[in-house]
Amino acid sequence: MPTLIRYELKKIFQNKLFLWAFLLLFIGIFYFSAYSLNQYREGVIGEYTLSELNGVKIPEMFVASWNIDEYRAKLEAFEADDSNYVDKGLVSGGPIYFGKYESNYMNQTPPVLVIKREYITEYFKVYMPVKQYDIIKNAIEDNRAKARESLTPIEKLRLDHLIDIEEKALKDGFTVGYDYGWENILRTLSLDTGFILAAVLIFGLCNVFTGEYSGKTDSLLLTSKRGKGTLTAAKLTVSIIYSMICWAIYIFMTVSINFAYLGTEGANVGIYQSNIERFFSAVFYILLGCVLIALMTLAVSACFSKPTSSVGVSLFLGIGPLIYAEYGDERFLKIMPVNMISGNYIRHGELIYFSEKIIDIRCFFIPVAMITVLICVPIMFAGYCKRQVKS
Amino acid sequence: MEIEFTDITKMYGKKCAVDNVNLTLESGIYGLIGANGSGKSTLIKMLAGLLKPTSGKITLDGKDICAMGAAYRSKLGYLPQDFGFYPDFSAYDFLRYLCAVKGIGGSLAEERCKKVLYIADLYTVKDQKIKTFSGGMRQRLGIAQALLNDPSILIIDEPTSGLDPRERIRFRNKLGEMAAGKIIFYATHIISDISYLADRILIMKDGKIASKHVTSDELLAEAEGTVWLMNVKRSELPGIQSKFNVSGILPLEGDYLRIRIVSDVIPRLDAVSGSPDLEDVYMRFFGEVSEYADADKV
Repeated sequence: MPTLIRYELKKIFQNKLFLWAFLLLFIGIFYFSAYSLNQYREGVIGEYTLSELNGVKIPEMFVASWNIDEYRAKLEAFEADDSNYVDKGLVSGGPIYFGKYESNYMNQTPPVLVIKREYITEYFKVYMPVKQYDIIKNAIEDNRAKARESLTPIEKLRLDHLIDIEEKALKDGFTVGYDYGWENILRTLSLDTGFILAAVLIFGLCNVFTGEYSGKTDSLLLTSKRGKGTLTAAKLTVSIIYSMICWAIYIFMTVSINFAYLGTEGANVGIYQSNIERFFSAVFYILLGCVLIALMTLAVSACFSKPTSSVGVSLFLGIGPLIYAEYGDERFLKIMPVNMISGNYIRHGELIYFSEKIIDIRCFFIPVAMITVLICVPIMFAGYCKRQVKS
Repeated sequence: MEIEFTDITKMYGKKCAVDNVNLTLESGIYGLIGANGSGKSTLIKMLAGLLKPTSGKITLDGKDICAMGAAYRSKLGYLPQDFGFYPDFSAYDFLRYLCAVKGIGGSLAEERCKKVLYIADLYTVKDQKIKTFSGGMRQRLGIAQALLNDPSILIIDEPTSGLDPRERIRFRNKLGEMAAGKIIFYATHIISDISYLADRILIMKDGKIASKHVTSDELLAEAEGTVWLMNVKRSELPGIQSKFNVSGILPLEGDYLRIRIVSDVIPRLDAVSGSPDLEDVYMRFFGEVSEYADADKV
């Protein structure tokens, strides 16, 4: 088996189609990372830029309804003390809350009081908990108002579900901490690089079986002792290894580009309600999506003799739902494996109405994965092992 | 060891490729000859387990080969007529990969690869990529892979078609050496290979075995009195070709040709009887009146 796996991997990596697709992935990651970073990079406040805030160290802060008053009192005391400020004037805006007032994004510039650098840490420690708490509180009010006016029962259910989540966050507490870098990586992952990653998987694996048929090596393999069951298992194993390699390179490159741009400290700059759990969740589901797309491609590959048919059908099944779900808003298509790869729905906490309940999209992914495995693996074995090599 | 074909029929839609074949194979070399489209390759693919018969069954020592699965395939060496390689693999990598597919591992795989590379005369180029190989080298590599597991059933379809005469004789001799205790099923158009090598000859026509389990001597004896030699003018040739199977034409001095005709009846009173060879036998079974006979008129 190890020898089979080694040579099967060699076959995949010698596939020229795969090499082109992988090059496209590299370019795509660079492009989308740069695009994503560039949007935030424009935020310059006074003489400071994001990277110059590297030295700012702020601990994670736990905020809940029972301790918010304590934070609020400290914030009021800080803001009342003029010795904390160094300057008054107009500054260009940015996403970093760096003064008494939040500056508008990009160019609208209300007057702000610029805080002395040595007091920035202290200010963040009291300002951010209060700000995030108020954001959530306001969101609850907004959602309640929308729920009262909502036209459909499904929309009302969705808003009630969101209100429950937000109220729970206020009651049980949430963490405010460094998040900008992680959020930015998640943002990159949820852009169109998901398309490219799925394409790399499909182009790399579409010939696993089809290549044997079109290259006429299948008659040699299918008449060999291990040419059916064991070889199919080896091809399956190799495809999973391949999808894990693609996933690892994808995540590693995205994280590396962000870190290289922001610096290791910079990746933590920007303090928000900490949602790092969503980053790890997205990374896990991207891996799961990669494996499932690999399985779907293998099943298609086992059933088609022509490489063009194999690629076409795999792309249709693999990437098609992503396009359709974007524009067609179909629930069924949203839970397809490619939407695990895109990371978009995970980032935005997509909710699905199912069986008179509103459910987080992630709850569907594991059952979808199990169904995909149950469908694809038998199709793959039947398509290849029962193949008749006609004259 | 005995392979038995029982009422084997294979249909492709309404077309019958193999029609109710009954056959028993024991140890020895079987030469299968037949015209294109006669059903040879279909029969061979069913024996190799690549095609399932529409009806009937093939058994090895009484067991259905489809039910035997890997146990049957482990005894099998197969060289298809038309097969592919992995062009970016070296010859050694290709064989090593096929060793793994055939369930041969470790030092035995090394040993077997080395041995078949020597047999195929490819040892010195074992590390070269297959895409750099000539047609003959690829054909030899195909032969090498079929021998990797030292098969007791060797099925080979047109193995020597890409080989030069020296390589062909070498391969033929090697096959003769290793034949003891094995069933070798050998399809070819090259009549000389059959005459030198096969213990038994099977002639396939229109999906049926037209003649089975005969030796080349028996076939030649059967064809005695069906080969005729005669001298004709060039201008007479098209007319003769439109009526008889012409198996040879030799130019003579002047406007004359010496022609060789395969016919159960004497073609002309001046024709003399000749000694048949296996090509005459082939023409007797498969030769049809030449479609080129009227080409001169066109």
